[in-house]
Amino acid sequence: MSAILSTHALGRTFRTRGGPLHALSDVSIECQPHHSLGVVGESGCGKTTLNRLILMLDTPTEGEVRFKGKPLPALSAAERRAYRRAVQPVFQNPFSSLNPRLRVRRIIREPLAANTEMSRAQIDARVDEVLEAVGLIPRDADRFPAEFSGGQRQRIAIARALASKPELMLLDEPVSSQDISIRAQILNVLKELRDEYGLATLFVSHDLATVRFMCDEVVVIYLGRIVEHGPADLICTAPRHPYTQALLAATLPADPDAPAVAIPPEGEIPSPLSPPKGCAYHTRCPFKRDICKTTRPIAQPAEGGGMIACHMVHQGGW
Amino acid sequence: MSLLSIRNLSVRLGRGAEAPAILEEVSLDVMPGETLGLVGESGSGKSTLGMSVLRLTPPRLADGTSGEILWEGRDILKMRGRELRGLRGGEISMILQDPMASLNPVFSIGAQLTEALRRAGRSDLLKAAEAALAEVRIPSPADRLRAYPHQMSGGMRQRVVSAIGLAQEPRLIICDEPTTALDATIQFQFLDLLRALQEAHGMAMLFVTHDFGVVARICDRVAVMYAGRIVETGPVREIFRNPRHPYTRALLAAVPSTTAAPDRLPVIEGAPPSIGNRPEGCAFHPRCPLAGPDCQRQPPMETLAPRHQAACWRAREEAVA
Repeated sequence: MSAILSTHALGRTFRTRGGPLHALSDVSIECQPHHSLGVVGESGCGKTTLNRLILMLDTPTEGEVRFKGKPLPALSAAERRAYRRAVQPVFQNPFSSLNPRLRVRRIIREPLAANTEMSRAQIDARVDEVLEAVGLIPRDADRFPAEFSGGQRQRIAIARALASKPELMLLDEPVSSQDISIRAQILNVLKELRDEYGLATLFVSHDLATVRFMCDEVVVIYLGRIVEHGPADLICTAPRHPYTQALLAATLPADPDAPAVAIPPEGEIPSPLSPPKGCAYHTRCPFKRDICKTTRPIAQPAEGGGMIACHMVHQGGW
Repeated sequence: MSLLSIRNLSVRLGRGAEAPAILEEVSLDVMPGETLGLVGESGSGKSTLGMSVLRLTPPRLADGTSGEILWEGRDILKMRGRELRGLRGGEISMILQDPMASLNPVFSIGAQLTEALRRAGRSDLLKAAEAALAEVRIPSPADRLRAYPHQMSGGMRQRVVSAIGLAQEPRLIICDEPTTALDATIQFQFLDLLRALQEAHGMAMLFVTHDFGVVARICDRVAVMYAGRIVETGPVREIFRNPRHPYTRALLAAVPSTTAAPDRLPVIEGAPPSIGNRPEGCAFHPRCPLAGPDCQRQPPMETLAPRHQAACWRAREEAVA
């Protein structure tokens, strides 16, 4: 039981005029030190909801999030502060995640002042330290976010996350809004920091290639449910769930001679307001059988490691 | 004989050669039926180039625009009124990144599609509209004609935009990041559709993107842009297998892949220069591993192989790994 953070059959249902919207159902994951877990899925799969639940910006309707084994609602005020210090997010868009009216020093100092007992001098020293760790210079602390490029702003956001010596970094599409040359820089910085400080990372992304680079282990989510869970190299080279296969096929390699895709992805992502019965993926699945239309598959351990929720894989099917 | 020929196009923020340039001395040809990818990072000028072809850049840039954009020998920069309107959506159409911005939210899909078909001189508009939706692979097209844009998914909206764009049988379609807002599986389907439409209609395509995966999938030829200039252009295979400009090489190396997990990604240090702050000479030299004193001067576009050109003093040297 060394998990920093774990979720247990976590679910969130929103009540809407169109009926209940199951944004997230039955999601169980674990974040260990020195370990990076990737969460992959397309729009509407529940990635953002998962993040919000972990950050206590929203409350689950089923299941729970636990911090070092203790459910979040049971945390005392002091423990809750420790939790907020230990779990630090980096968001997708550094243009909206940094307050434009605050100098960088203030941006990085604020979580330290709120969640730690550090003195002013200690905090200032820490600000310089984290700026250097992300490849900026201490003098940058006296500038405003508007004076930085998108890539530099994302470094500032990472520095802020790093400042309170977190145990888990929650990375929500941290490079999706960045240019290719900047993307590589940021990914390298994140990886170095993770390895240097032994952080756990939860890396949320829509891109399997970035996840392969950053993560040891991957969960693939479709319409709020985990469909496949396994080692990153396996997910990216020999995926077994038909949805993971489609996602991999749709990840276009930068290679004009890449082999043709055997089974191109079909169909649209259904509305989460009226998800298909049975296996949610059956409307798009080339391997579906009658059972897939009526019965939801349960995640089961699969050969080669990991868990898969698919009737056909487990029947040695297709 | 090229369909579109851009000659020494510069777009500056003001008159005179000293004004900050968005585009500098860009020359480019698009052949009938081919797909030319225009790839670069933000601020490289790729969208401005695409927009310039239809004279859709903001009017305040008109003063600083020089060079020629020849469409079958006629200079688009000199066209006005009726001639320009005939070009837009007629001979040349456009698909932009956000279909919600291209479609009118208060008119049905059918109304917007039949408007374009009427302009094309078609009769029996409803039937033609249904056929147009069917061609872009929209399921139950007859029913969808009554739908409004907000009732459709992003992928379906982008298909509707394509159907409208095709109504007048254009010979060139300019696509500005049309799949950037789409999910991976939907992007895959849309690119396949574009390719099929292009073959069926014999159109040329100018495809603006920042994504080398998309380029590899859909383009015949590529032009790589950096800081307002084309730095390298060539057939797609040539650019991916034998890139000659250090920027192209570095950019290709920096793309993560699903097939390998290196410890570090090779990076280009620094960031692209902003407009008005571009270095003298080759704009890439402050970030370039091969830069030398001669890079203070702008390198000319050199032909290295048939159809393969690069603007770099070191383009003929062997790659330094």
